Amino acid sequence: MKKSLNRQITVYFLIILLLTVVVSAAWNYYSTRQSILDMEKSQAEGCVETVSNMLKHYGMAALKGDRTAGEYTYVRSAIRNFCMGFDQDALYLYTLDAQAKSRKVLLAVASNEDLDRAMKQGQDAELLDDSLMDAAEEAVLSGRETLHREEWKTPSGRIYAWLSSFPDPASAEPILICMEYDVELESGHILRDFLEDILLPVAALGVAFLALMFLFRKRIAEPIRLISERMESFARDSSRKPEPLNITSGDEIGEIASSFEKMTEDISTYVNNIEKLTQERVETDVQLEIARRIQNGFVPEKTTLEGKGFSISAMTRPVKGVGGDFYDCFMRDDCVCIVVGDVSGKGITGAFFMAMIKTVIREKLMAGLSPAETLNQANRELMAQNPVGLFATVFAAILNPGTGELRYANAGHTYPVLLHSADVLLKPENGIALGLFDDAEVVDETMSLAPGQGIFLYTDGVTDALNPEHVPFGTQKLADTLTDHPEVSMTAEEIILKVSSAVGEYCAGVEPFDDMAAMVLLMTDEHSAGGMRPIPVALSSFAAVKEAVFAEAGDTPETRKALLACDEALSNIVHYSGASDLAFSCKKQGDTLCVRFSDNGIPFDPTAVQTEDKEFELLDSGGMGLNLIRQTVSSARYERKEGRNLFALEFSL
Amino acid sequence: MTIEKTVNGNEAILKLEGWMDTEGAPALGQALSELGPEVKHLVLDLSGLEYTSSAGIRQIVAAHKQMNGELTLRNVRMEVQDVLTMTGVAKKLHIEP
Repeated sequence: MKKSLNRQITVYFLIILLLTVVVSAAWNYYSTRQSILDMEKSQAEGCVETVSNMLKHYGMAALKGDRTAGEYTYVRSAIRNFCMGFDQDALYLYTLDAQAKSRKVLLAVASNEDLDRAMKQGQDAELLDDSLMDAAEEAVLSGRETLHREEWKTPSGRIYAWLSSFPDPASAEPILICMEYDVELESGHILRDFLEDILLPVAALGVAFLALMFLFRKRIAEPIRLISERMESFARDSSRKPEPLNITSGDEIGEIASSFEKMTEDISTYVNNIEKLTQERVETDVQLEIARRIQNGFVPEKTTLEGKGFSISAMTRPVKGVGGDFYDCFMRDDCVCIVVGDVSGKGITGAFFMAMIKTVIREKLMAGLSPAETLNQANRELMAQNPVGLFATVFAAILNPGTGELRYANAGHTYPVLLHSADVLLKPENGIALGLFDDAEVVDETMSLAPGQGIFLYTDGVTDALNPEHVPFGTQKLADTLTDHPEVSMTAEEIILKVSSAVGEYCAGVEPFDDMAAMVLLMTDEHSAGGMRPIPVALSSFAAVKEAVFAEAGDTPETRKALLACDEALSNIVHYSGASDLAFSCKKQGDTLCVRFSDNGIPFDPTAVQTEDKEFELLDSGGMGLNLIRQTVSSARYERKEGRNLFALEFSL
Repeated sequence: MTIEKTVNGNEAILKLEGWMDTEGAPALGQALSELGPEVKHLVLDLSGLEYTSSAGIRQIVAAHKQMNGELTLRNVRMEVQDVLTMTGVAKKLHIEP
């Protein structure tokens, strides 16, 4: 159970209060009793003095004479009045005969009328107890005490007796005087006085206690309880501002309360802001994701298009989710149209503008317009409806794969690179980027591509990509990357992969800041589509390889030699790579047969293995395969890309 | 690949026909293990063997070891001869011209 501050303080206060009351009551009782005793003593003294003075005046003879005489009666009644006046119950005057050890009562009076009547009739002697009186009388008579107090029990209750003596004025014989009074009466006295004395302070103390507790509760305990309650609920849900405390006292509690209110208000504001920001961020992210998906539908991150005599591969890498770079490739009758463009804006705006341009261009090209007509008309349409003032550079081309004629037009776009010729830039007549001027001044040009030749299109995101030292990738590095390949011809897809991984390596560790798009158009031998096809990862796939090689290049001693290498390559993959996926292609290009294996197994570069001539006896343990490959190929190339081994072999036919 | 076995006293002839590729080569190993101890000389008739991979060569070397050198290759076609030469085993094997 919770230890309430209020409860604890109340208990401590009560204990202190009780202790105070008990101590002060004890002291009070003691002092009351003492003062009452003092008072009684002085009354007894007064009584003794008064009686002795009176007897001096009247003489003891009056008491020793006839008890029926008028003088005795007068003195007796006077003494009784004194007795009553000094609050005594009874009063005895007597003499002591030392020899006879007997007491002679001279006078006995009582305040009580019945008792007094009995005493008057002479029934008084029995009241004095011999043995008890002896010591007291001795003390008084010897002069040690002038007034001795004795207490004893009688059948009617406890009694105090005051004993004193004074000399008989006539004979100097000591007269003893004994005064009695009721102890119970005295106790009642003391108690009454005590209660009278103590009641008021205790009541005052109680009232003060209650007032103090009320104050404590109202000013301290209650506000603290309220603050603690609010803190607890605030800790549970810090986004909701707690109800106001309404503690306005200017003391420390008030300060705590106002600090707490300010703190909770600040915290809940922060929390709400953070939640709101997160919410907005999520919404923006969701919108960007939707835009990215729409854009990805328009411009997939990867595309390949292959047809009779040509092969196209393209990629794009938008930054911040949605980019303005785009490409497009599609067939128009027997021709293939390619478009690469770069919109001046990024984000959602750029993406929408890009989508519009791409749609317009495709529509015009499909309608049969030439690249230049397409771009000029697209420019006019953009000029008519371009509220945000964006523009785009575009390169568009149409290839006739049958004739190799490439008709192209450039609207301010980066120069494409010619592949497989001298790897130089194609420098078309430059038109103006679309969306800037009413006339884009784009013109058509044509060139001819032979099988094996191609063109590489890209956006400036490729050449502007920065390395950690902020040096751009550059056109030269791009040209080097495109030329830096062995004799083995690469497919369009391989070229794209090579460029994108070269840029990726160059910029490793740097957040790309610009979109990037690239496309390769390759003229291929018109009989082949050049695609890889999947085959099972099993030795039995050799049959399919054999069939494909014979279909491509016929069954000749050369193709059989090629098959020998294929057999070794395949069995290597099957036995050692652990691949689960394997693809294969073979293509005859002129006098060369190109065979490719692509598997997702562990990285293994067959061209890097040093083969040694083994002793004949050890040959049955293996190791001849790679040697055989080496001796049969005209060239072999290995690459590791995107988790796949690519092993490309070329054979002279 | 098919293998035809003929045993003449202590000489056995295995006539290989077809393609001894990596997948087919173990068949030769199987045939070798089935030869009885009485066979002291083995002839591989390769007149019908159009193709052999390194796996096939390994089986031939294994046969050479198993027969303690008493192995003769007969009727070797040019394609197979090329592979034997390329792998360097030709000079160690007894190949009838």
